[in-house]
Amino acid sequence: MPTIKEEDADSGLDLTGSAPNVGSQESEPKKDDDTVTKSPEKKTLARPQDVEADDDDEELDETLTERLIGLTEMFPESVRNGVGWILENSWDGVKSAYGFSRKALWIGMVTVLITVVPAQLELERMNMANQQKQQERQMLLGPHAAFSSSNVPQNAMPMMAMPGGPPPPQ
Amino acid sequence: MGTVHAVEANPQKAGASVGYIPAPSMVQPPVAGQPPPAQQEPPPQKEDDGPGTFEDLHKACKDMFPTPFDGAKIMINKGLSNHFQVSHTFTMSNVSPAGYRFGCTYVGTNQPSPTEAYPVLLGELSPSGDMNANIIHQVTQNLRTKFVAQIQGGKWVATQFQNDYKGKDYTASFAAMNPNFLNDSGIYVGQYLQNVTKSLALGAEVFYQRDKQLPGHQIAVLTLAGKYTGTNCQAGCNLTPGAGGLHLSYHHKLDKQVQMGVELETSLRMRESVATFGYQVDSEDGSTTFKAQADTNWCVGATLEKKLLPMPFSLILSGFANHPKSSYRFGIGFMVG
Repeated sequence: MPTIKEEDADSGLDLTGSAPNVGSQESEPKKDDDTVTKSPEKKTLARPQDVEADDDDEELDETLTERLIGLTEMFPESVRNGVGWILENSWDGVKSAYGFSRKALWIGMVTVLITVVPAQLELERMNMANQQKQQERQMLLGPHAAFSSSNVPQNAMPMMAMPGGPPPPQ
Repeated sequence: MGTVHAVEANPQKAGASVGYIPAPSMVQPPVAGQPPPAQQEPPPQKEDDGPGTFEDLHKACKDMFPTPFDGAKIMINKGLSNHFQVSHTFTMSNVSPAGYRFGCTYVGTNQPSPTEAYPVLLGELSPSGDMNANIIHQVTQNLRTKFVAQIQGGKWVATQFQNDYKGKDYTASFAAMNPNFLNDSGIYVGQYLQNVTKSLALGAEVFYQRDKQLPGHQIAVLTLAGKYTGTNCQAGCNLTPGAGGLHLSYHHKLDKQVQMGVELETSLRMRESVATFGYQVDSEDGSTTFKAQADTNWCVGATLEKKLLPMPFSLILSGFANHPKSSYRFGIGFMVG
């Protein structure tokens, strides 16, 4: 009785790594070669048959991600490490490049706004005002007036303020 | 009289000299300090005027940089007569001490040249008792004397007694700051600048300080200086071997309206070095002046000054940004008269 129980207790899975009774039929012709290299082959050959019966548990345990990750084992370690580094740091790189470009753009913009823009705007405004005055003078007094007094700073009242209209050209 | 307006004292940056009390450079005499020409000859050419004083070595460059301020500043200048002028200044600011200051200027009757007049007495007074006073006088034709007194918080902070002697092609100065014969303390500075060729001037300054707190009760610092003047440019150099100080400046006048300049100040003892780049643009009729500067401490600043003719008004806008500290300061000033 106890022997039958022991036999029943045996699950049939061979965990010791040697060829079990189940696979002994195929392994017999191979027993002639006793090299170390062959024994793992024996094991791998033995395994699919072996595992078929007990594979249902293992299939459910391995998820798709794990299988895909397992596929990467075909690349050498340096390639794996390199690609991992690139992917990790490229996102960090993009973030830091964006942050740097923000700072640089702000600093550049503020510097230009403070040191360049007021001068340009003011000089342009003055030029336009001068040009407009010249044009008005030219219209009212004839072309000679514009050449003679083009760059004199206007301290007198502007022409438009005179109530009686502009003086007649002499 | 030309408008002489009182400006708040600008302390000098930490330069090569040790413990140098900043001379409050308040108001300049009515014309940039050129020595008077010889007695009744026509005005001489620039080379004959000599190299200028030692302090004016970097003046061309420094004058071009803006002086940014914060808050509002309103200045009312009123000339009471040909010789006397009074100014009221209201400073409203968060950063610098705000308040009211009263300034007065008296210009004397001695006129060695049409644009200068001596003696010049300047004073600036605040209601709390702080006072700045300058007396500038031309004692003889070649010798100019300046006396400065400063009182803050009811105590004498600084007194300075300076003499400049302008020879034909050299300038010698001697200054005494806070001389105190009772305590045996004081600062004495002697400067000499010589025109070696028409465009090159070399000189030296000896700075001597006596003080009980110093090791050995005294310290002396030697500074070498050189100035090169080209057709449109001017370069100045100050070298202090003892304290590891270097002050270089280059000023270039591009045309009638635009000037640019670079300045480098290094102090190995303080372990700091700053380079500043600036430019100034004047408008054609001289009514608008724009000055801007940027330096290696990542600070930028600019000033726009506009004369609102025909009334004697001036509007000053200033902006200053300090990027590392992210501090931005803007000021508006209005001057009447």
